[in-house]
Amino acid sequence: MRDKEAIAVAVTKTLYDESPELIAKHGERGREKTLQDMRYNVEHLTPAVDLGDADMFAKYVKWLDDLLRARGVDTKYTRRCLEMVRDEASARYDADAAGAINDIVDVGLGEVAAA
Amino acid sequence: MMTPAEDFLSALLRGDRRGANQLVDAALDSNPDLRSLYLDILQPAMREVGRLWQENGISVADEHLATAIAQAAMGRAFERSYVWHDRRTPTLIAACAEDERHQMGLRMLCDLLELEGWDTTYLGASVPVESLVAIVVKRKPDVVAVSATIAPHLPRVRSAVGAIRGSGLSPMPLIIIGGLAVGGDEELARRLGADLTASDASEAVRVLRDQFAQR
Repeated sequence: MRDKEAIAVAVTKTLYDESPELIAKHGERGREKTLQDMRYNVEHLTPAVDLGDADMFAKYVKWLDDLLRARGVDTKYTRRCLEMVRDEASARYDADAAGAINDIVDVGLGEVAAA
Repeated sequence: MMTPAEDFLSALLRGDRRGANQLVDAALDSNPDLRSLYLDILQPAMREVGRLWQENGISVADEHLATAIAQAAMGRAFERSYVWHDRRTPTLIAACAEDERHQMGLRMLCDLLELEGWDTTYLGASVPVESLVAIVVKRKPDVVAVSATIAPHLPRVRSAVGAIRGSGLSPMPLIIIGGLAVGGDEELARRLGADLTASDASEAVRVLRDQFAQR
């Protein structure tokens, strides 16, 4: 996947712009951890897209949501991040590749119900 | 009443190396089968350690301490179980994919094969592709095993397999891949270029035993 770091940075910035309460709750350290988590999201999305394996990404999303909820991060933020990763990543590809990215992330989102 | 796996987990979470070793000794006294110790006690305990970290029940330091104690216990258990013998075939080189640090499953595989008379070369965590290919070319093993626990390392598994196949070795070693990221998925293993896969160390021993029984 192209521009992995740019995707992670863009998603983190947008998330904190949209949700200023996150800084109040988790501080600057939380923002750094979010950036690292976005890098992991992109790293996990890459082989799933490469291998066309939506199930692989879905398992990761379920695992991630369990992990983050245990650390006080609501599922709504996880979902929002994944939506933004999807949109940032698919915007960098042609229609076919973008479609594959969208499909795989959407299967992952299906693992973590909206509140 | 706690199971042996729960007792062992409890020792790991206390950071009690001595207690963990005593439990390993007691387990081998009552059942000298190393495979049972690894698969029925150590593996479930370590999976629970991973789950507890995921649930924020223990810290990264706790997890690393538990891993270190479990690995030391494995070393003790293996040395207690191993009987020197003359047969040292087939041969296998085992490596975690580059950047992959979860290595206990691969070490279990090597230990269990050693007990069956194989000669294994265990390279452990995060082996760079060029390094792996160099040692494979030098030692010409019958089998190369590559492991990855997390999905982002699958491209590195594919690179390693591709580089071994591109090395020009003849005969080409059999290549088996495993770890949680592969999960014993045969179709995925084929797509990554491997010959074989298995869902855990015990199954890998069975798969490899079958391969070499046919020869």
